[in-house]
Amino acid sequence: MKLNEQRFLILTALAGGALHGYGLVAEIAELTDGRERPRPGALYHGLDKLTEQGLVHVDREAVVDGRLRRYYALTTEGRQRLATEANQRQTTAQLAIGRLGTV
Amino acid sequence: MTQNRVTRNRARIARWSCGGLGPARRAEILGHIDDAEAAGVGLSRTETLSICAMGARARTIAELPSLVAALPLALLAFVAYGYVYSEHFAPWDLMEEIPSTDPKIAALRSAAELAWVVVLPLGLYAGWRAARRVRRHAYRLAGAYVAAVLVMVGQARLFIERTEWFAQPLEPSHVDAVSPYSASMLAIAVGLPAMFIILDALFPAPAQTAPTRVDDHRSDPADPASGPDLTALLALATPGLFVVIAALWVLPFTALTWLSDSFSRRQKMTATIVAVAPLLLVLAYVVATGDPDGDGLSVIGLLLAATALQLATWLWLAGTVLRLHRTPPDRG
Repeated sequence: MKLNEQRFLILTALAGGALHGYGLVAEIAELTDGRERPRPGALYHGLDKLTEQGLVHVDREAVVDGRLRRYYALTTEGRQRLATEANQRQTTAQLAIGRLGTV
Repeated sequence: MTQNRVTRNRARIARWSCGGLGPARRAEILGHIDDAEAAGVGLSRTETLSICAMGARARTIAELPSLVAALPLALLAFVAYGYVYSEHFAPWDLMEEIPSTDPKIAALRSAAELAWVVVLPLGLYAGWRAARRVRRHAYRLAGAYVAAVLVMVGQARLFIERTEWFAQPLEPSHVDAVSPYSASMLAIAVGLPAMFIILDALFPAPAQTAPTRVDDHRSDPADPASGPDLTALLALATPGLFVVIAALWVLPFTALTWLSDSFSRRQKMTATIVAVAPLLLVLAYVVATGDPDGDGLSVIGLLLAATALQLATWLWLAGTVLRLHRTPPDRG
């Protein structure tokens, strides 16, 4: 099944290394120049689903100033899936750009 | 209101909303809120609402098994209360045969009315308080049991008072009489879970620390002279009442079973079949015999068998819930 935009962005953000929930929000916002800022409900639900699918796993937990941070990281399968999705999206985007060029 | 105060209030509301989440996820979200505050930006309105929605959804799912598990006791209370009430109070007999001026009877009936009016809200409140204070799921189950039993006791009283309506075939003229009753059933069926959810949202349990898992709440008619009057039970077999029961209790609770994460697919299928099949059987019997009131023992026998089956199923489901919540938090 194709990844939706938000889950694709979560995997993309995690490709740079393990991140905790709030860190993921910040990273996605930065990657998209502020266009995307996942809401907590969608973010944690997405992380749960990606974990169920074996694309993401809990890397470690840390307590920082009394705050629990659970870091998520890509699994090997998640990395492969991201690469596949990125290639498909690139192909689609090139197709769109090519067509626009002929208009 | 200053921006700081707005963001502080948003954070406070978001923290309250986390009460329904499992300990691990709750701690994670609390960390998320703290991180947002530490970053100096706080939560936006949509982020706050998103966390509230997460809490409300988790709370709803967490309470469903408790309410589903409350049914066996509620059904027992329903039958027991109906038996006692018909034998000792027999309101329809009292009204017809015993002068209503009898002070003893009048006092007894007034006391029963008063007890019902006072005990129900007190019972609901006490059950909820016990659940909140102790913060252990077993006690939350007990609270839900008390609440559900009291609601069903009240329902039994209504059933018996309205026996005459249901002992007759439904005609257009009866619809008006049934409507207020149906409305009260609907109000309770919807109101009870809603009350738990609202009270839980208003008075959340304090947040727990040291979580170890992502989410742990993945939360009776025969001879009146020879014994108890069974007219009330016979009345239960009428199609109109079955439709009401099916529409307002059996089907919603079956649907809730499907929504719960606590039960396997096999358990959900069994609960559905056990809940729906007796209703269909009785309706089929009534259609086949053309006797909307049933002929007595055959319908009652079917009812009792169905009740026994349902009790067994609900107990099975309740056992599953209890086992699930006794699972050590760091297992799985």
